[in-house]
Amino acid sequence: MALGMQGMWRTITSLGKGLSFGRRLPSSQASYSSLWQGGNLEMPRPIVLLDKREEIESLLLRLGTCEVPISKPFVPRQAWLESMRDYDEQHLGLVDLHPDVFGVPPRLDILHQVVAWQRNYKRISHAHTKTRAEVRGGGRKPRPQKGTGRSRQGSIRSPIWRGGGVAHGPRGPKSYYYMLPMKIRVLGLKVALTIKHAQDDLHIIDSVDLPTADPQYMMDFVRYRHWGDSVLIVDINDQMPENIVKATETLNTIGLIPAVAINVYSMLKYQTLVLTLPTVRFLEKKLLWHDTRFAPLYPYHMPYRDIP
Amino acid sequence: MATPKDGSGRQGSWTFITRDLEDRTAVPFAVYRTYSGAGGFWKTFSFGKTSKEPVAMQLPEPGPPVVPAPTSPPSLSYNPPESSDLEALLSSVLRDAYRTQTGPADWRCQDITSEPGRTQVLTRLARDLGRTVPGSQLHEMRRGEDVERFYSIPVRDKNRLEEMAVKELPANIKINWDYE
Repeated sequence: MALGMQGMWRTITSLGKGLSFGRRLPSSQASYSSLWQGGNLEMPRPIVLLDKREEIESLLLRLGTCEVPISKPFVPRQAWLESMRDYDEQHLGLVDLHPDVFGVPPRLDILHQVVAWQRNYKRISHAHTKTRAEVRGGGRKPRPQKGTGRSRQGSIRSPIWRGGGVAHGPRGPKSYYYMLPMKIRVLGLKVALTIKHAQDDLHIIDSVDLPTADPQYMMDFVRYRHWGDSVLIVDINDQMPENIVKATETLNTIGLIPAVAINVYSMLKYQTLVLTLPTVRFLEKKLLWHDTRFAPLYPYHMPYRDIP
Repeated sequence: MATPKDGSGRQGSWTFITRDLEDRTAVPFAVYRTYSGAGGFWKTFSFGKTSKEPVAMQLPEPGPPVVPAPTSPPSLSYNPPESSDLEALLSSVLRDAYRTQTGPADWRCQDITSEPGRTQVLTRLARDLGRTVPGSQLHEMRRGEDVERFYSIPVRDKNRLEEMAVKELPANIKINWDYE
């Protein structure tokens, strides 16, 4: 799909913490963590798994179907449950995916808005030029008004002079901060997940356990599974097994992030998206909560900037 | 001018704040650095000892055993079997999976949305035919005929130029792979 955004950017989007320069909208006070207000703000707990076969079956039993109910005419999307423990563990089971997260209409305009926002809201441009009043000198009229046969000039630092000030140049640090409505950002995540799934770039694994910490195993594995040139692996917690951390540390085409760090920019930057099953349920729960909220996140009597 | 007391041997002269009560000549004002020493500005900073004794190189410890990679990634191309063979395979797989249910007589109308038969059908077909239904099309596999349609479409792995490269060409055709 010609989105024109694949693998060309070098900057990695991190959790946006908001800017200290300029006033912030109240909706942005807590950065990305404000996006995860699905009922309560508690972080998901790690799941400790014992035996492999039984654990996969119990995992499918517990997390194989959507927790949020699906309304009648819609059927869930599906994906294969895979594993990273061996090259050939590709068909451990089938996982249901909520259609309101993984089956929304592909809104490319929303994707563009969210990516542009992610790139710009942290930007502070420090370009600054001096005007004719700030350039040193230029207080005296260089020659008389009349009689010299030359053009009339009032100051040697006027913008038409070499070495003079800049007339309409950039003035000082400028902030490009703005906040997209929260529901637009949520919809952006849903659209990105839908497009990844629709283009067969989404894979679901039971956990990020690797048999070895060798980066070469990771590269061979990705090539064997035809996962593409770059892979973004998302686990539920930021505490991850040692093997995957060591294996992906030195590789720059394989990224490893916790679930709360998922964002549209990174999903488009990496070709393949790999989610663990608890991450899928977490994302569904948090993203679908916004579909049924009709009350403000904080009372209207507190200051808002974006209500007309 | 005072010289730095930490023995780092920095060049340049310093005026620095001292808390030594005996030395009343220190001026507690701005710290000046001059760059007249050998090496210029950056050499006024020393990041650790400059002279080290030679240390024997330590080889890295042998890591855990590497899982050997398969010889090559499996090809993504798929050639469907003969239609009669495909029908036979599909009918047997579907009947095995939905044996206990009183389904329609024709396996094509068999509904394959119910578990655990669905996983069994799709996994067995992926293993036997060498092609997996991709995630984007899994929700479209609702009946036996959907699966039959999917598995009767061939998939080509290579583009035409790559196919020509591996096949034997007539004597009067030559492919020039170098760009000039």
